[in-house]
Order: sequence, then C-alpha cells, then structure tokens
Amino acid sequence: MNRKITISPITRLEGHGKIDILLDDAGNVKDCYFQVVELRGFERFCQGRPVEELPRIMPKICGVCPGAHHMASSKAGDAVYGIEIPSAAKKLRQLFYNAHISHSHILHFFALAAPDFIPGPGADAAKRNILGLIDVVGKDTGLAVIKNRGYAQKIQEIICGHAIHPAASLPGGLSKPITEEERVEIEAMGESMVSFALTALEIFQDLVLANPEYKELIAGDTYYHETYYAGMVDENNKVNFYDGDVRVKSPGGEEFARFPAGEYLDHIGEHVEPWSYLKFPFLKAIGWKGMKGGGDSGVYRVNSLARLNVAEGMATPLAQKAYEEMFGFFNAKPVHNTLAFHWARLVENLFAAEEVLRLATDPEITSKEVRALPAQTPTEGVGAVEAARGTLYHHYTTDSAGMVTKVNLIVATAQNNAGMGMSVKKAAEKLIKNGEADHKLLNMVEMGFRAYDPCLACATHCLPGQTPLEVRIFKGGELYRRLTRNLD
Amino acid sequence: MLMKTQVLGLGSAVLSDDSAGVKVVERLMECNPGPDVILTMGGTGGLALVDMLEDCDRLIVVDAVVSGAEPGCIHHMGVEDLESSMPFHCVSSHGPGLLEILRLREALLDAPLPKEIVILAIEAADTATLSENCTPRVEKAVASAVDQILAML
Repeated sequence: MNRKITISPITRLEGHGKIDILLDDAGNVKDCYFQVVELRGFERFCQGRPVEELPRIMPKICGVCPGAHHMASSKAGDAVYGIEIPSAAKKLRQLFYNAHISHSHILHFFALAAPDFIPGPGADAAKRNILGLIDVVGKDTGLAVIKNRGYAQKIQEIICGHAIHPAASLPGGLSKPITEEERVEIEAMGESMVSFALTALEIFQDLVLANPEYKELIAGDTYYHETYYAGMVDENNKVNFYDGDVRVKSPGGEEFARFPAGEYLDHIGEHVEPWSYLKFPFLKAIGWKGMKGGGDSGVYRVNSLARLNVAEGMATPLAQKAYEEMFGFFNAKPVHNTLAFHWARLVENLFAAEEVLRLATDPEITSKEVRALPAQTPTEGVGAVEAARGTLYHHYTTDSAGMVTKVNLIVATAQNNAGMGMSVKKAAEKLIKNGEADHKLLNMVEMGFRAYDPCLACATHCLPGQTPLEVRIFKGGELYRRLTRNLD
Repeated sequence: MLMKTQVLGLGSAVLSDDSAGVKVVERLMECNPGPDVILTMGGTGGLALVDMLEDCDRLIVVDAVVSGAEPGCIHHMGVEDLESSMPFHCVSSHGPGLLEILRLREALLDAPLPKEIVILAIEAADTATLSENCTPRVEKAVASAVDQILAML
C-alpha cells in the first residue's frame, strides 16, 4: 500500500497550502502534490462592478503583489475601452512598477531567501531569518535593506496614493500627475536604490557564491529542471516588467513562441487535476504531459530566471553587466538551476533601480497629461505585466455600460505550479529513502518552493503568522512518524 | 503627559472575516479618538510594518485569528503570547511576522518596544470567501472590539 507524507505550510501569510508526498511500497517517493485552499466567490465578487473599480479592488485580493494587480488591472481596463494612454502616463506607471518590483525583490531576497544561505541551511531555525542575516552582514547593511525597500514603497505611494492599496492608476492612465518636488525626491531615492542593488549583488557574490557548499547547492542537480520558460520582452528582446510581447523559449534555448498578451488563450491551456484547486497552465502547442520537464512536455516556468532566460539581455548598462556575469557563471543558457531564481532576482532588482532613476529624470515625467478619457463602448480586454513572480494576466469582459460580466486571471504562481511540484519531488527523492525522512527534508522542501517566491493569492493575514510545517509518514495507512515545525 | 497609543489593524479588506482588524480601525477613525491616538491600516503588513509602526507608549494590534474557538470570540494577547504561540521564525513565503518586525525595529532603528503591547485577536469563521463583509458573529465582535479599545484610550 502507498504511504503518504503531508507537509502543511499553513501560514496565513502565504495562504493555506500543503504538500503531499506519496511513497511507493518500497518507501521511496512516487509523487508530490502542492495544494492550496480555494478562495470562494471570486466571480461573484467581481461581476456587476464598474470595470474602473477593479484596479482599486484587485490589489486587495493579493496582499503580496498589489502593485502588479493594480497595473495588470489598469491595463486590462485600457484594453476594455480600447484606450491608448498618454505617453507620460505610461512612463509614470512604469516608474511605479519598477519601484514595485524592486520592493518585492529586496523583500524576498533579504527577508526570505537569503537566510537559507546566510546564516545557512544548517543554522538554528531561530537564526534563519532577517535578524540572523543582519548578525552576519552587519547593522549598516540591515539598515540599507530597510531604507531602500522603504524607498521603493515610498515611490509607489507618491505615484499611486498608497503602497499597499494603490489607487491612482485606472483605465486611461492615472488620476493625478506628480509634482517637480516629488520627482526630485524620487530621483534621490532612485540613486540610492541603484547603489544598494549593486551592494546586494556583492553580498550574493561574497557570502553565497564564495561558499563552496552554497555554490554547489545553486549550481548542482538538486533543483535542476529542463523546462520551457516564458516572460515579457521589449521590442529588442530585453526584459520588460510593464509591457511587451510574451516570449517563450524551449529547454534548448530556441524561441518557441512570441505573442501579445491579448492572445494568451491561443498559447496557454490550463490543466485541471482533481486534487488541486490551483490549475496547471501549460503550452497548448505541446500539450499537457504531466508534471515533467523536457521539450516534449508543455510545462513552462515564469519568474525572474525565466525572464532572463527568454530575453537577450537587460536594457540598462549595470544590469546588463550583472546579467552577463550570471550566465557566464553557469556557462549555459537557458539556466535550468532553480536556486538561480534568487540570483536573477538581484539582477532584476538592479535593472528596476536603474529604470526608476532613468524614468525619474525623464523630462516628460511631470507632465500633466496623464489621462485619456474613454470614448469607445467597452467590451473585452486583456492586460498583462510581469509580476515579481512571473507573468500576470487579467482578462475582463463587460457589458456596454462597462459593468463586469466575466473575469479570468492567470497568476504567476499557477504557472509555476508544476515546476514547484517537480522541485519538491526532486528534493524529497534525494532525502527520503525507504520511508526514512528527517528535518533536513523540511528545509530542502522549503528551499525548493521558496525559490519560486510563491503567492497563494489569498492574502489572509490571520494570526499566527508563522509557517508551520507538518510531515506525516504513513505506513500501511497508519501514522508511524510525524515531523513538525511551529505546530506545537 | 498623555500616553501615545498606536492602533494597528491587520488583514485583507476583501476576505470576509480576515478584514476584522482593518474594520476595527476604520470604525475608530469615524470616532475621532484624539491626537494621542495613531490609527494605522496595516493591511497584510509584512516588512512594510517597519515603516508603519511609530514610537509610542502603547501598541494595540487587531487581527483575525483561527484557533478553533467560537467565531467572534476576542482573544486578548500580549507580546509574551506571541513568543510562545508564534515561534520567532522567518520561514513564511511572504514576510516577517509582527514580533519579528518589532525586533527588527529594535535592532536596526533603536526603536524601543512599546511599554505596553495589547493584541486583540478576533476569532474568524470564514477567511476564504471574497467579500467586503464579515460574517454576523465576527461583525458583532468588530463592534465590541471598537468599544473595548475606546474604553482603553
């Protein structure tokens, strides 16, 4: 009889999720399932609302990447009304959005990812957090983390009214411009952010890559999967978070598809498994062949590393140099090592900071022309951005009065659903032999799914806020071993 | 000298009972409790709370909780309860918890912990349905929490 191991990261911060690991008769890993609890009533919640209200409501659905939902929703609203927004509005949204990406990447790397390396996976659990990190990198660096993440938040607040509940972007552009005083403030913050982004890459170099154990962890086989990748690129095939075509590359690095976001339904299918509320998006042209990698499987991955893999480079000079260093280290492209998502995040953080600075000094950025009023009858539209976690699609249909009749979202975490399952399975395969597992499994499984920076899109924040993990090992249907963290 | 108090409401505004904490702060804003009271919508918080928290004598945090108690029950907790029931650990996919934020402020910004920290945790019945309304028992608890906080001020 098969045995079952359940890992339940049931924190309210990340939603309600658990990972089930099924063992075969010999006690070795047979399958892994990543499950989340479904949020109910989404369609009903959106239907009947004026479409211009969605950019204000959508960010509240996900407390993790409100800026991404604010932008994708605004762009879908633009498309519903067939509006070309003013040039200054587009630049302001891009400025807001690059600040959003920077804030998210700084948070993820320093508060969540880095403690796996600094102080390290073997450190006491009580030290594997941002305070343990500060013990190693020093108080000044800790202050720089807080300051620059705060700057990225502040820029979003200046442009869209509130960093967590942004409101100023709406169909047609923005409800307000920025003043010259605000521009000057943003420029100063942008300079600091660029300098800090370079420091962050140095920290990664000195404390992660210089350590042979961590280097092996990143470059080794544990989380290596050859898959397709998707991400948005500009007209020069450079990474772009706010706009562009979606480009898909094969595991071998060839361009497989390139399409405007509005055509996503032609390219992306959604596989449904009976055990999961979270769907499994896949490449329609290949088809769903199960949770496996390779050119014959429609599984693709999104997020930082995917964007760098599908692009031909970065549009800013310092980020381009960092991009070349990363691919030079692996001496391969695409890079298939999942923990390289962390490195790619830091390269992107530098790009986002350079973009903030560039846009803050654009002569048009303080223009008062930031809104085009709708003139067409609303119908249907798709808006997409690169959320920090990967491509985010909002697809709205309205009646002729602009009241929402249908909504479809494809979020980044769903697109990495299969990838996360594959990474967890591979880690589990290495660590569970003949039914034996220990606490190292918890760390390695966590590191696997944390690389994807998953967001279960429910944003519940009930106490307690920790991530309890539970591993239950069943033999013959009976519980004979239980490993827990933060549950007792 | 009057005691300076900050009331921090946490939760998602569109997820039924998870909005209890932010609803309490919304209602308090309508009551205009005076210049020595800082009312803060913490939303889903995380590291942003480092910037949102202010130096104050007393911090009152209102959040939803799922502990198995009767929905609508209001748990009064202190920071020592966070120590025991929410082990200090940063393993969330999304961000540090409240205790970690307070310690981070202490370590980096030399911001002393407030002399008094009170946590009102409202037992939720439903945190999975998208709605701007709480369930009836939690809605009553929101009104009760507002009264309790006003009595403390």
